[in-house]
Amino acid sequence: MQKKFFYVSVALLVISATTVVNALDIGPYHIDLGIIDRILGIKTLSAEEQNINKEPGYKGAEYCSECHAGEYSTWSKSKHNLRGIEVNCEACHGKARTEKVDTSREACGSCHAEIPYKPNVLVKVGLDDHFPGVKCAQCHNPHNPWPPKSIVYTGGE
Amino acid sequence: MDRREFLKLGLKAVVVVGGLSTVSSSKFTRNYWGFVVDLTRCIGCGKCVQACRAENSVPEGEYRTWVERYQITNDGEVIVDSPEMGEEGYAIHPPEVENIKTGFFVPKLCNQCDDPPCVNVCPVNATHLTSDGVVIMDWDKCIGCGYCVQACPYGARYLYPDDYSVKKLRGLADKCNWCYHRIQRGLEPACVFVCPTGARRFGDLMDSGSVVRQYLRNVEIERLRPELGTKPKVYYYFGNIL
Repeated sequence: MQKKFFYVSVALLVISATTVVNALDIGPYHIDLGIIDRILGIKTLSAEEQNINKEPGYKGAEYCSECHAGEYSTWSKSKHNLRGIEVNCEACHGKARTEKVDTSREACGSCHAEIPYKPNVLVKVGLDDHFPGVKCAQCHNPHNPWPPKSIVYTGGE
Repeated sequence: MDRREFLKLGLKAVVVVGGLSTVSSSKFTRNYWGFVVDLTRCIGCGKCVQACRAENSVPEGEYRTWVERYQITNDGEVIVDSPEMGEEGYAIHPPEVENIKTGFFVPKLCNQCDDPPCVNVCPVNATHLTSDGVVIMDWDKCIGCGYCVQACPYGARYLYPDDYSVKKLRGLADKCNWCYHRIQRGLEPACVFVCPTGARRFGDLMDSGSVVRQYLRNVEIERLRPELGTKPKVYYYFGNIL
């Protein structure tokens, strides 16, 4: 009986000591009883922790600028970066480090095509009559689309 | 000290420790988040849906957010359609109906209700409203019964398919959590981040200077199905669109 009492009190002491240390939150002194929890099948991660436990995939223009400084400075002065509402790098390029970009007319058209019900918040282009067959980037630098590059258009109307 | 006294002391210690740990467990921020959808700015490009899928590994065929197209005929009939849930944008899906008076695009997502039906029906408490106003999932508790999917009046929930890449999530419920991992790091949700026109805005309802609060000063603000009493925190600014 005495022995049992002793074990119980030691266990209680350990648990309360760890809780106190963890609760005080003093720097590196965080004691993880996770392994005991896992053996006993007790949940260790709160819902908040499960939801937060993931690195953001979309990093933001500053992150991109660490390597692509030229593109960043072109873009930051352009009409694709306007009044606090910007077309971020990753809006067209996909999330960071996936390194793909669709250069088709339809890709630009997903925002700029003239389609029914579209509000007048950006430049609308009729894809069928505005130089059909020519890629947008041939005249417009996507990082700074306006004014267009001084290129003499040689194709048919 | 006899055994009885020792146990009494131990009980007191446990109470004190418990109190301490509740005080210090609030390591999450004290914001209360809100979301505004500006219908006068949505162009139906679908970038938000794509970004949501990429950021949150949403399985093929399921959506945490999507974009609908509302069309109002001259007779006053409302036609709603959503080819591919708007993921590829509406430029490649021209409207098929005629006699239309007006139309607009409506992004949809979880409304993060203050009185969420999905939380009320969950039999195992696997979903709850956080202190900063987001309804999140606890996948350690979820048993995949699907009651929450049924209960959500906005259709914002789904079950992970049986062939989902993460084994332990298969068959469990999932929902938009306003990119909880991003907003806790001071970033915007992915859909807000990629929106090229500012149709989706995110901010702190407690901060009177936040963009969300600025929108809430307008009269032309509506929530989806307010009559249900779910108290959603996604506000739709419709301006002069109707």
